[in-house]
Amino acid sequence: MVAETEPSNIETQFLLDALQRGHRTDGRGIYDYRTLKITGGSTSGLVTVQLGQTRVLARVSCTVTRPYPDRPTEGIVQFNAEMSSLCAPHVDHTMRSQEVTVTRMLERVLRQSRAIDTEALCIVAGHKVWTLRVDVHILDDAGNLVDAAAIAAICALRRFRRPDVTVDGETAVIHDMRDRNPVPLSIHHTPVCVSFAFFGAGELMVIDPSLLEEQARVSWFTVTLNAHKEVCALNKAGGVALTHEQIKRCVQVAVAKVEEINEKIQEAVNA
Amino acid sequence: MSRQELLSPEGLRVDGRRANELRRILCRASVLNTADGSAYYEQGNTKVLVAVFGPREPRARGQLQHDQAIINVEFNIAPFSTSERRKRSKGDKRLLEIASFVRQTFEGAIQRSVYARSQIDIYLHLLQHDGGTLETCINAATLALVDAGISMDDYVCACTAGFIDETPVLDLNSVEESSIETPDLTVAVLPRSGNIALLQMESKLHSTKLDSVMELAIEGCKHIHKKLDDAVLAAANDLAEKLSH
Repeated sequence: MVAETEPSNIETQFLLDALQRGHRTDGRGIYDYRTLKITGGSTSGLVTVQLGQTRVLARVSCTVTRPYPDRPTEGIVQFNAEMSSLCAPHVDHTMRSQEVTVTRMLERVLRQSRAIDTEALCIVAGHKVWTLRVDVHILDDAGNLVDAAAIAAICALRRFRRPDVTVDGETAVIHDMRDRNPVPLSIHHTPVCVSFAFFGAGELMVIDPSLLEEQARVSWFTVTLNAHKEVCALNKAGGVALTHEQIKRCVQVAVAKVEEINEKIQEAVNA
Repeated sequence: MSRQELLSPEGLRVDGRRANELRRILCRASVLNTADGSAYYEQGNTKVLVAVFGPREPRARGQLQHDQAIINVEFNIAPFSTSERRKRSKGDKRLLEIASFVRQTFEGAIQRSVYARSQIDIYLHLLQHDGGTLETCINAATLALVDAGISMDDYVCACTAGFIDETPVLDLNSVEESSIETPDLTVAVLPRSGNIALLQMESKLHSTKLDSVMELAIEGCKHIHKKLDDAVLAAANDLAEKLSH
């Protein structure tokens, strides 16, 4: 296992000096996102997202299973994020903590906020439901995996088509993709994550941190919003404590950014 | 499915509280003999027992950090803590997540550079679950860390708040938390500066209403700070009495 190379003191000092003058090392403005490119794949549930140099791939698949006993009329959605040595030299199969962070973030953003209608996934109550599996593979880590993974997951879910089902009493017939057109999932709303990083004593802020900015940050914060300006999740844990004003400002900036990102998502989904 | 009324028209919640009332808090430090610091914390019907060990030698020498202490948090929910007995596996993601939040919160509050090359362990046990798991864990851990004499920048006080029927509501219990429509916001504050060390929210809340809910939660944290401070003073007075004999 190779140890992660931390940035040198000169690099972090340069980053901080530039930030104090309002510049970022990659030439962006403080509130600028990197270029976002969303491409579909060969199957309906496959989406690749490129956020600057960060690349994430999401794949949605479905199978028919028994439901959980305490929730007989709801389908099941499972999230899984994977990082392999592809994405950064220091990552190997034993480094689970960042995978767990991304997986838990996806679960909170997409499952807890009830973005996916799980009752629409029910086929025969108590016996058969659809289980959706959302696999997110991180191909290249250049900072801000959470935002990219969330965009990839929600785009993949919105593009995904499941086989059509006819239910006749207790028996269900699952139609082949060639016999009947596959059906889209029922998605209530589209949550989008916006991540911030803070520097210095917490007074310098950037949006969509690059890898160097992530390594040099002292605090971080993610807001998840949907197109209706509803906050779906807030996540600040660890790092320097932030003031209430900063949090308010971040939420306001995030509301504006989510509109832009949503436009790109709409284009990609309707393509 | 009949919807239970969480906030009656008279402004009373399911347990008889008003919207901006905290549950009753009972807390005591120094409840365990072998631990360096310990605390028992009750908020309403949620009960947590915390043991702090440290600073001590890190178990894995390879993880030793030359300039600061390692904080290790383990969180356990007792199978008898909920109304239906349920044993959770050690690797349960929800448990790991809460332990990770507690760890990250205290990594910012404990003066880690004072305890270089050592490890501080915080073991949390939830004995009864009635909502506000993360907030009670953080409050109890603060008390236990103070009891252990570990240097911290400030107390860390946490509180939950939600939004029921267009009213911001303080300190949710499990009935209110499990309702689908109630957003659940947990805030941990460092009282002296008023800065936010932890902010977690799941489920939807309109961005215009966020401010009022956050402000209510931060107010709640101030009250909890007073309670924790009283408990620390009580433990200190206890000790002073014993030493003076």
